[in-house]
Amino acid sequence: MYLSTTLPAEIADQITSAYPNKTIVISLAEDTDLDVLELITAMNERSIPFIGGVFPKIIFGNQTYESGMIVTAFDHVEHTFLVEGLDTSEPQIPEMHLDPAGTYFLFTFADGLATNLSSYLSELYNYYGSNLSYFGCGAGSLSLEQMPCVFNEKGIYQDAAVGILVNDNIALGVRHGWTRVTGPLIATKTERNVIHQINWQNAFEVYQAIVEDHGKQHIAQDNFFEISKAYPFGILKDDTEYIVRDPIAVNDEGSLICIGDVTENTVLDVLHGNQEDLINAAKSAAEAVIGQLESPRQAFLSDCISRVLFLEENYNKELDAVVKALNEDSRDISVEGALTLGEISSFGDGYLQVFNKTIVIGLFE
Amino acid sequence: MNNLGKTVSDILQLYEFSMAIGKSFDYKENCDSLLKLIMARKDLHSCWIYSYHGGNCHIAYSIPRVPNHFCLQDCDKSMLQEIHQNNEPISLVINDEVRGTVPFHLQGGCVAVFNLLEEGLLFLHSNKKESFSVVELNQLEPIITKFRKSLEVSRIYEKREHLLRSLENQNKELSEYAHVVSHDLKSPIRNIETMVSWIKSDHSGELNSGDIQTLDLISSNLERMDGLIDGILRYSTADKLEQGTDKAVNINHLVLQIVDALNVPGHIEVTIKNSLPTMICDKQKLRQLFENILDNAIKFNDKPEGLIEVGSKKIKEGYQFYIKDNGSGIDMTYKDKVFELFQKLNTEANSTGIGLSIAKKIVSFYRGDIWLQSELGHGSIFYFTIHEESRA
Repeated sequence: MYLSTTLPAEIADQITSAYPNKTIVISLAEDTDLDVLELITAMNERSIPFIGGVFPKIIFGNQTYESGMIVTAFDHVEHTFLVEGLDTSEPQIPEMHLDPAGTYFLFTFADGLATNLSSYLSELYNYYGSNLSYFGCGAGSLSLEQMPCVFNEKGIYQDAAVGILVNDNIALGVRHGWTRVTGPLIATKTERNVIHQINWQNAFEVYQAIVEDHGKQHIAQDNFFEISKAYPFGILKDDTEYIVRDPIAVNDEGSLICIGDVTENTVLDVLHGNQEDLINAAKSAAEAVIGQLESPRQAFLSDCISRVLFLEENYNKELDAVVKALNEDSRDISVEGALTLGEISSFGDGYLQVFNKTIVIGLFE
Repeated sequence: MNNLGKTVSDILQLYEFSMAIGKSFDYKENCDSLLKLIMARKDLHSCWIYSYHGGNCHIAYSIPRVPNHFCLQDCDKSMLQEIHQNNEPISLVINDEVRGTVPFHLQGGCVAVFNLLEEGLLFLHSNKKESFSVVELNQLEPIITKFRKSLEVSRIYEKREHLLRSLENQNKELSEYAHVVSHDLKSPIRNIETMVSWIKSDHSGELNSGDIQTLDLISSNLERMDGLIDGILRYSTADKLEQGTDKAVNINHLVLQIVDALNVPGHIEVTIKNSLPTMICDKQKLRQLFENILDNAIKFNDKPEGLIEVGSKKIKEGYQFYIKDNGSGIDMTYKDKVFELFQKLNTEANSTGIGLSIAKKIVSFYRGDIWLQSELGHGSIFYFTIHEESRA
């Protein structure tokens, strides 16, 4: 459900009326003129269980919105949780009992700019392994300035994650549509999300030579993101899609700053995409999930904000393709979601990781 | 990707794995560094290490973590032992037999098993694969062999850390014990000393010369006991260093100060052969070292014209010093014994047999050696070395 009102009491009343006895996930667009703490109070006054996150934009149907909120309701929620300390190496994961006969998925909103987001995901997997499926979104502001961006009944938090554990089915589709330009290269000197050296040379010089050779355009510090948004890195994996890493800036030393960690000695390809490939990839993600559930009811998209920046006015074609693929054969699946700073998924049931420049579709019954 | 491209990618992936090995001495961090990477790159679902340390089979590491209540059944152990006898890596389909050895609930897929020898067995599990290919196993084998060696180093490091902690605790306890004992012993000594002086003063008219001699003997023994206790305390703290006590010490000045303080008798001459160096060290410890050896050289000099000479020379690690005297000398049979605690080769009442033991402990503290050359009736030379910027 998309709500455009900014009155906390009205929002809470509408949720109570539309989704009685359900657990609510709120995706709030960052430009919404709303005091989150007042919303939390209104939700608590009506005893509505909920979690939420703040995102650059939100998705409803085949439209994106810069203000307002998406309200998504879930049945069979067995736990809601908050994990703080995503700026530390070992955030404390809550103990949640899983019924061996159950089929679970975990839905999480995490601070997409937290320094140890990957440690959170690693610890989460370390606790629950492949006994459940994982789906989530990196929350935060398009300005890339870190701020409190996930919330629950107790408040709004930075360097934290909120989530729900649901005893129900989920189908996951993960695609990006970027293809290899050159590689493999080795990120020979890195520090978390900063690549200092590629192939033992200055990272920017290597990247610049590749991008200028392929795109025939000059790339420098001042126009870096304008060009780099079409040339992400792909971390090589066996048998599955690349893990895409988005270089967003170059510093004075020629180090490339990415969204998401790149561990030292990671083997990389430089990727490139065209609008058609990206849109087809999104459609393919939708087609991949649609046959997996008997009676799918709603889909949630975790779609990278940088895909919007790359596709620009054609981004709606990506949403059109997803909505159309999900609703073929007269199905009636509502499509909601958020434009995110990092997409979280287990690639179906594998090791849990954060992606960039990728679309992850979660389909629920 | 063509064949050449695939080969290059495989080689680079193995390079990436190889570089993730041995980044930490800590066992868990060491495992995290490589095994999380292999899981991410090969899209695996779980991994675990069975370890056989201490005669028991247990899960030494796993992703995800193993439930606390998990324990191996006897039949499972025998199967694991059977796998362990096979040196080659193997791929096993997850069936009921394999499930019995698995610390989690696995629905299907396969495991690759690598023999870590003394470190146990490493299992890598994939839900999706039907089996790991021979090429995959062969590619990973040298990586896992290198990883096994790094695990052995981690174990050795853990043992060393454990021993060091244990030694530190024992040293601390011994030091506290020495302080407590010396304090408890000194208190009654002081009481007896006081009572002896009271008896002497209160009964001065009634005591005969024999009584006074006995009381004097008691006093002198008490004084000796007091000296012994002080010596034990000094010995127990000789290799302890307080923070910030290291500084540049001009040893030439230090030796002159010691000689001045020792009240050298008129018939003994102490000379410094060459200009002694300045070293960064703890001044009190150096003072005690030189004082103990010089004190002996003075005390046991039986010549009408006593000569004591102090000198030094630069060596690779620091400096070698010597203190030479023309005193009574020491039988070389006792060249080692003289440095042992409470060992004295004379009947001197004031001697405790601790001074040279303390000297040896201080020299050891500075990673040096101490030894002597001597000839009975002609004198001795004590040599010792002090290393610069290194401490035991």
